[in-house]
Amino acid sequence: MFVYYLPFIVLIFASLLCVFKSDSLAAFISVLSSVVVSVLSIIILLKTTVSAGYLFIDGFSKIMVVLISFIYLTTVLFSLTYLKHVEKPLLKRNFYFLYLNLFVLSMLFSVVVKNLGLIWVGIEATTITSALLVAIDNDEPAIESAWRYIIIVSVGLVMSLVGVVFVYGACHTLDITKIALLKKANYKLLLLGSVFVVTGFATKAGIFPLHTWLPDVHGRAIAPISAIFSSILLPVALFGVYRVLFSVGINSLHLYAIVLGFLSVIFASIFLVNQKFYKRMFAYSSIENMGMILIGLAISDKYAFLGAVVLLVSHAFAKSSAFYSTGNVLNVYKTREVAKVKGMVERLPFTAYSLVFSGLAVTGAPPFGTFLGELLIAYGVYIKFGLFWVLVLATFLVIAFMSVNYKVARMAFSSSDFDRVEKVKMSAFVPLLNVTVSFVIIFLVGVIEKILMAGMIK
Amino acid sequence: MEAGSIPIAIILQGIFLVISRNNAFVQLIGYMIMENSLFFMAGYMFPDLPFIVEAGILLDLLGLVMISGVVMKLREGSVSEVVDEFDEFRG
Repeated sequence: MFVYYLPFIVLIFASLLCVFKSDSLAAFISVLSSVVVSVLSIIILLKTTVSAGYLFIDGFSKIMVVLISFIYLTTVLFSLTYLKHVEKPLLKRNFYFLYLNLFVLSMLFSVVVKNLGLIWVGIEATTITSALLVAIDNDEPAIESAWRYIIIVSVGLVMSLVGVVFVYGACHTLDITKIALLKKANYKLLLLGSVFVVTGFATKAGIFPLHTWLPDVHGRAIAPISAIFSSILLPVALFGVYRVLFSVGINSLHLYAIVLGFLSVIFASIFLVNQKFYKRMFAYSSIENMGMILIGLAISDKYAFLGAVVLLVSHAFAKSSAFYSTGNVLNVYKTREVAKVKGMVERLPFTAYSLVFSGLAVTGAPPFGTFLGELLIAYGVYIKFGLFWVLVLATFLVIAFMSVNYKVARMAFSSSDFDRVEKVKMSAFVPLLNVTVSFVIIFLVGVIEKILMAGMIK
Repeated sequence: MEAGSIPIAIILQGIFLVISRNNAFVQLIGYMIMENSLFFMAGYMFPDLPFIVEAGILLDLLGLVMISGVVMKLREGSVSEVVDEFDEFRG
């Protein structure tokens, strides 16, 4: 039982040690804590499922814990080299690592708790701990985007708090395992409350009606922060949506979530066509992927659910690789525009190939795990709604695929007369590693299914 | 149940304040109006909300207002008080 609390204790100690004014100590402690938390997450994966006290850890939460710890590890490794390129940082380096550790702590907290109110508290805590990390570039647009992040996400989360209060009024408990067993006495109030909760958590996940903060923040935050936001913060918020959907279990609520997912795929694909800035382009691609995952989670079908989880895991590694690569591009070219980046293959060979492969991966090209995930979700849509809606979905996925990969290929393979400047070092190695992992996921689908269905590996 | 109507009206007023102004201070005040009236509603309609949840919400509120204060302070130095359009944030 104690092992389940151990990652929290490690992270709290790591954050406390980061208070001391020593950059190398903070970096060392963060690397150490991320390695320890990753090992602990593997140990938790091998243990049984738990439902006791404030904890509720089933198969999906275990996968989320492993995902969070691994992305945390790669983000810390990438930050070590990347932070040298930030010219006038808002926070000193030890405070950067302090906030990063607290941010990971709050995300880990919100995927393992049992109480709906505490899930809300965890997701709101991620806003508080990450707001200053967004503004670390310390110029006008960065601070402005941090402010937009705070106000839009908090207003969305107030809506979901209204929903939590309504759910409590209908069920007189906030324990998600008890809500699932309850006879639905006050059906209308429960439905109203859960719709509010889903909309509010979806704000944090970048789902359609309140997604407007996401491109601004991902476009302006530094590369490691964009990566950790896109690859694990948004899935953690979707995990909250999943908890509500499956404990309440009303059909019209599932339909509402599916409609939101469809709308975000459609809007993101349309906006992707005309993007001029590469980081914003990947941000819209995140919205599109989150819409697909929400569709998969909301269709209560075995295959679609498996597809959603595979897409979530594989997208996390691919998208973090994409954002790390954009960080390397920004350091050399000093511009965020697609049109001004030329000839990356000659100038930055490792980054160019990791950007091309991760661009293929995030849009669901065949050799990567995302392809299998999107295929399974499309199969779920086919079973439930018929061929027409699959074709609509596929059309917009193809639009997204073409617009992302056309721009990435133009950045990478156009000719220029610059010499090679990239050396083999950590910042070139981490994105390649992550995009490889997103390919390896395709061999682990059987393991993921076993964890989801049985709760553990036998 | 009728007791809930006034808090819900105030929540909507807070949302209106957030979406209709482009001054950051007024937006923060609108957010705080929303939170206040939410506590008002929870206390009126469902007074037995679990203690740990209420404590967590309060802690989050404190943290959020502190962080907003820091960001406000930064904006004073760099961004003008009225939110302008940035070229980069279009589309």
